[in-house]
Amino acid sequence: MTAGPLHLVSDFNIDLLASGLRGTLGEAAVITTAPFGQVYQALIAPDPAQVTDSTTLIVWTRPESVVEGFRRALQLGEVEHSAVLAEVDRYTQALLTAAAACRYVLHPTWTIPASKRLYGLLDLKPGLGIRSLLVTMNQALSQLMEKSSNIFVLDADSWLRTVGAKAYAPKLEFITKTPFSPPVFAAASKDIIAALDALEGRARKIVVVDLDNTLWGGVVGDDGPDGIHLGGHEYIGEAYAAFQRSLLALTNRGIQLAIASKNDESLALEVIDSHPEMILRREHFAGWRINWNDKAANLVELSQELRLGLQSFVFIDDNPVERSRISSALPEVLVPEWPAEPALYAATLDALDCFDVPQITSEDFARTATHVAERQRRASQSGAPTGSFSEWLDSLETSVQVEPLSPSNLPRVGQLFNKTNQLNLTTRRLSAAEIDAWASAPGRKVWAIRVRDRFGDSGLTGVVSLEIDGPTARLADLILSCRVMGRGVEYAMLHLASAFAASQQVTTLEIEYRRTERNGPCLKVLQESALSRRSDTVFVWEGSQPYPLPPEIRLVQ
Amino acid sequence: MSVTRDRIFELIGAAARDLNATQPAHKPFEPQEDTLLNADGGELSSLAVVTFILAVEERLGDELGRPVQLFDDSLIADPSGPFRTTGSLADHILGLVRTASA
Repeated sequence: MTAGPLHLVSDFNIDLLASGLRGTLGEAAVITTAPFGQVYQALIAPDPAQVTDSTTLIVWTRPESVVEGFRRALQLGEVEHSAVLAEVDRYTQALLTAAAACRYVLHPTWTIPASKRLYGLLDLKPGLGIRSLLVTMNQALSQLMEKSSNIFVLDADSWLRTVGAKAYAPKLEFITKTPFSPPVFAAASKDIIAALDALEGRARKIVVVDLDNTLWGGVVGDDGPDGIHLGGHEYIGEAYAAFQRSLLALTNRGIQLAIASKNDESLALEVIDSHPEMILRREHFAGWRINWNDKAANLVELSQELRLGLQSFVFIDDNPVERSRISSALPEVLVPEWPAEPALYAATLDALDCFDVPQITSEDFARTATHVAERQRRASQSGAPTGSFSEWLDSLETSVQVEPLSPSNLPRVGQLFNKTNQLNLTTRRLSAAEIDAWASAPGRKVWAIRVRDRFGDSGLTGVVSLEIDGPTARLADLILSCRVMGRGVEYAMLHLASAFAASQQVTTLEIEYRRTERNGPCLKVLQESALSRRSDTVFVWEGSQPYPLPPEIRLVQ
Repeated sequence: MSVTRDRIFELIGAAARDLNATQPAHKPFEPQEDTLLNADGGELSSLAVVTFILAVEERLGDELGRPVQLFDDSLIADPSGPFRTTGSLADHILGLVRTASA
């Protein structure tokens, strides 16, 4: 996997984290470490040789080392909590300063050893207890995520809980200034890698599940719809219901579900539609392949149907043979080891760290409804065999609403920059702050695109940006969610950019495609367009007239 | 309670697995009889050697049901001492256990 340079800042010896990260990222990863103990210096005046605007800072400190008042509080000295929080405020200001000079800041929450009794029964009492104070200090850290779009606070307590009583390692600390045991650094490294995956747009987007003994207990073909284990009062049925609830929770945050099952389709759908204990219903699934075919082939078909790359897929199946088949045939698909005990299904799903995203927007919350609309749209296409493709497009009554970049749409625009792979001209990954900074320079424009049709509102699903230099304009970004690809919106976006360029007396619009492993669909759009081709990857639109707006699209500005 | 040299090697292997959680996945530390530790040419960093010795110390303490003092500042600084190789470490542990049992 790839990651930008990482710079570790800490008040303790953090070399075990550096080696753990290198273990996953590879020897070529650029990982530097600030001199330990010089936290404020490293935040306020970072070494420009080690920290640039492409660097991710990982700042892991102990509260007693960077907040003097908390050190005194830990010794049960008389300390005004308000004074300690004022110190925390100075520390968070330093973090904001650092965040302005780098790409991202990851900061674990502050922790203290669980074994410390401190004020015991009173330790959570506001104004007195040390743990009460620490909770408030961590809230101040978390609030940084509201103040800055490139600061993320990680839950270090979860790393310590994973390890238990041996999380803190006093002897290792006294000898090497390393306060935590190696498993804590291993847990931290895993969590940080998940965060980097999220920030680089590598989050998984869809979970494909088997049915028999995965979504419900038993084999519906043998046991019949009334004989399967689901819900009710037996533990096994409860376990499958709990697993379905966890899957439903994923859909609520924008993760899609699909089915790949070797089964009789009509019987399986009967259970999904009618079984009184089913939590997931047909409308929760973006697609399904319920047949007797090879599951690898079925996943490839689902990938094409849903326009999602296989690297977005997670495959869950109780059968280790099917898991092995998918792992070997489709290595891009994440196939988690799955427990044999159904009671552990929900917890295993809940523990997956592959769905993390840096932002959740209204489009994510509405995704399930969007998928239902998309399935209806596809059904309308296949159900109109006599109509031409353009007639079908026309029947969609698609409208494209254009918005200038604004604080309200910036989070979603940032998400599209970092999640969209297929229709993405350059795949330059920029944080929301970086997009805002880029757009503020003279001669640059960024538009956000909302798409809706008669089946529903797909939400903010596209971004176009343009950079004008005299008589020439360069299309900097052409990004469109796979959800709305193939309906002419791509060409409406070219129209939008070229119309603006023409209004600025620009005579040539240049569009340079930068190839990645996944953005082949973008090149296909350009090749099939009315643009002139200057080379294999450079396309142009010349003249005073804008690129034609597809007749089936209504543009709203 | 006493332990055999073979059992000590099993504990050393378990400690190596603890350490490997923070080592490059493609070159895990897999100690053999003559694997160098703090001697010149060893594959582990000085921090990793200390972390490994402490992990062995903890595993041994759990095995014996009592605290064991394995780490020693002067020994860790001596490249020809008992922390030279995994084998010399096992011999050192065996000597400590026998002395304590005597």
